[in-house]
Amino acid sequence: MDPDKINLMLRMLPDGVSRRDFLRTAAAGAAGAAGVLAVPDKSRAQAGKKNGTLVYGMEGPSDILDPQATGCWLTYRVTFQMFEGLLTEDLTKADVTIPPLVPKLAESYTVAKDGLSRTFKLRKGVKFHDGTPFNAQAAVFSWERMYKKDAPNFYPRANSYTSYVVEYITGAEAVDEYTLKLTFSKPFAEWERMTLQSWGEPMMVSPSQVKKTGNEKFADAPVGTGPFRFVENVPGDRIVLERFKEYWGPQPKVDKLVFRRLDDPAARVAALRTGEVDFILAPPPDEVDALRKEKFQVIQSNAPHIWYWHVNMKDDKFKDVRVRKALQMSVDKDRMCTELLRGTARPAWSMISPATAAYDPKYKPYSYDPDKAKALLKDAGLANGFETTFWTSTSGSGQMIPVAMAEWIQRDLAKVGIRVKLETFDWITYLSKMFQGLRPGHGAYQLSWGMTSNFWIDIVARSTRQPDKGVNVGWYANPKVDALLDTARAELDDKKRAAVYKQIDRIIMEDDAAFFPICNDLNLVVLSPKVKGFVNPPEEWFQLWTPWVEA
Amino acid sequence: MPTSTTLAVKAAMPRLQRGPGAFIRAARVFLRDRQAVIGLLIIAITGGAALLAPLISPYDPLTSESVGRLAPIGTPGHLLGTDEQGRDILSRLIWGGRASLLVGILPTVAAGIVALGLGLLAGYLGGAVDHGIMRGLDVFFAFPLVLLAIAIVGVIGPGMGNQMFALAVVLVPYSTRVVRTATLSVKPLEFVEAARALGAGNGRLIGCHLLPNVLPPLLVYTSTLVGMMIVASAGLSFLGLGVQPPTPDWGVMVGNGRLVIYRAAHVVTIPGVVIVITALAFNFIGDGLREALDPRARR
Repeated sequence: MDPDKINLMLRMLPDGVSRRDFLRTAAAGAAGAAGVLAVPDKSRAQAGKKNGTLVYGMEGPSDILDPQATGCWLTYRVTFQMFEGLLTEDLTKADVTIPPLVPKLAESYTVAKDGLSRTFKLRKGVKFHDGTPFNAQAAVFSWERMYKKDAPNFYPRANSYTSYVVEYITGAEAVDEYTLKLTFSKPFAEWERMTLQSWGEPMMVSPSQVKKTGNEKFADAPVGTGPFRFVENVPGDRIVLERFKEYWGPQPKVDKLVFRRLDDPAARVAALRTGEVDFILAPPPDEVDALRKEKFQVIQSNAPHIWYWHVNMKDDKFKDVRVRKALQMSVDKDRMCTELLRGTARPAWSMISPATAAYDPKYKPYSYDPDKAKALLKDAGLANGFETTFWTSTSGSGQMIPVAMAEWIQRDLAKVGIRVKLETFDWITYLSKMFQGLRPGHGAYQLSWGMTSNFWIDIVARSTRQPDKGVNVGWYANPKVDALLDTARAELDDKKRAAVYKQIDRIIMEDDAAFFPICNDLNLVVLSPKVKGFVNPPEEWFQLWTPWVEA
Repeated sequence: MPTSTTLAVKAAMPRLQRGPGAFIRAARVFLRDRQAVIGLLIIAITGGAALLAPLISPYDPLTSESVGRLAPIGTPGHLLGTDEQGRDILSRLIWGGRASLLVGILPTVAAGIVALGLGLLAGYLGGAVDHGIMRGLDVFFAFPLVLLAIAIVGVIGPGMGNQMFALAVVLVPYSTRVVRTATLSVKPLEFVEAARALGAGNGRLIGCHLLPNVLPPLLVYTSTLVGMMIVASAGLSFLGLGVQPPTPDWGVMVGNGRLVIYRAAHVVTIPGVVIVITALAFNFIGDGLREALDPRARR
């Protein structure tokens, strides 16, 4: 597989599972047809005083710990505790619809009227974990590592991951010791929010550490300015962070964070019940009621997540908009969310994710109407239905329980005459195959992700982002949408920009029915009753400096 | 593995060529072994059920039942309950037997046929041909069997056909080794020399004299292997590398049931038990065959 394509797909997606993880999963599966549950880990007792350590049973692997050069929701949950950027999303607030955009290492900033430069007043008295100071020179170093191809510390991998936020940067200047100026070739209204997304995290790295380790090895000894510092990373097993005593901001409540890898949902729940871990995400939907009864805290959030299908606009059946509209009405999403997903997700009808400015929970362009769907198919000359092929993965970050959901959908579609042949692949194989684009004869490929920035729809639906230039794998192309995406990108007024994105969503869903959204994951976090102060924000990651564990 | 295989092969080795009465004698010995008969009965039941699925399955294995998901064992109308999609488990067990038994048996038999050819050639011709074949197969011996099958399916893609192909490929080396050992044991015997002296060519020697004496150990080995392949194929299906949803298959049923293991353990354990019992049944049959074909048993 072409390395550029691999970079592209890894950039797009919330997960970066390596090939060795597939083999490990394969080896685990080969251990027996009856399934093998993880053996409880007795070494937890040596992790320190109970109220000093917070253990998270992670539902998948973290990628490398160099925030600029990786992309993954799971990884960000680790690096968010160690690194900081100029701005941040305030994830200490749960009772908001969108995480507030607040200053972090920049105390304030201004955007020029033409949108072609941003000037940041940097915070004083900030130290990196290695004791070196953070200042405008360190900031310039961090930005040049990502954008400046002729800089000595330029890192191509970081450039590839951060491309959405650095592609228009023409200059990074230390105006004085605590003032940074970034100049752009084009105005990009969503730039701030895009710098806070989970891949290519443009966070500040210690120049002296990068010089010491070199770009590639920085991930093995990462140094940032955040409230936690790196202790160890045992690949496939655990990552350990500890409190940074010289942190410029408020001290975290716990001394140590342990990220334990527990891919198997049943093993995760078992580890939570034995106290081996303090909290988990993605519990099996059927376990949630029992966990509530056992006094675990179950906290959900309206995270920016959509589980949806890319529909093949070139397929000889689905190229007819009536067939695509029939698809939108053929699945009883309410029933699936209630019976199969047990309330851990909510039906989705739009390609705008929750936790964004343009999200409208009341927008419902279609409803479940199998009779109308059959009528539309009849109009399209398909009164006897037709065969097609859909693809999904067997697991993956944010995918929830993809095969079970696809089987459910397959059954509903059969009732209106759309006979779906389902093919499933392990996550990494799936991504590499999927990003080559929808094949002839194939109707839809499934994916799930989203962002707190409405720019997400630009990444997914712009016609220039078809394979292999992007993730528009359904070959969707509407020049009206492209033009509106350009308008939105340059519109600096928040309200006006949200209105444009809403308009784009209406065209995509009502005129073209080009994508098939199914549900929004409510991103459940299940915590031991001993954990206090945990906030599950409307985002796909969280901060770990407010929670603590009671003795 | 070499030691017990060699012993088993040697145990099944005849000292003389067999005549027609040998089959009846072998059958009698086999039927006297209670375990082997039980094994045969179990296979008859599961295989028969799979064959007669359209007639005896109480429900469609693909539709979700009105009684809902995860109905327990003994639910009225659903003896074994319903699975994580609300489908009747008994129906899926019956229909699933088709994929599970086929993917357990067919690759093993196919590998046996290929192994027969390769093993006879290697054993009879010896020398460079033997070396070439066996060193080539050594590559496969370096990998754990199931892991190699998984790797092959990983490359060629999932699906029942590919699953069977992968399992057949990884089995050929093991069966070939058995055939080769048997060939090497029979080749130096007097009746082979006698046949050669009477003017029999290579083809006739291999086909009429070696092959019938090499078949019994291969048969024993193959029937034992089928049990293991039932489990291996279930493992591949469990990983999503075999039949694709919603086609029923015992391994798939176990894999899908993992998520609900605390709520409704029967969804996982019932197909798991069926896999184990079926594999065991083939092992019993294999043991019985070894007894029946052992020339040292009473004649």
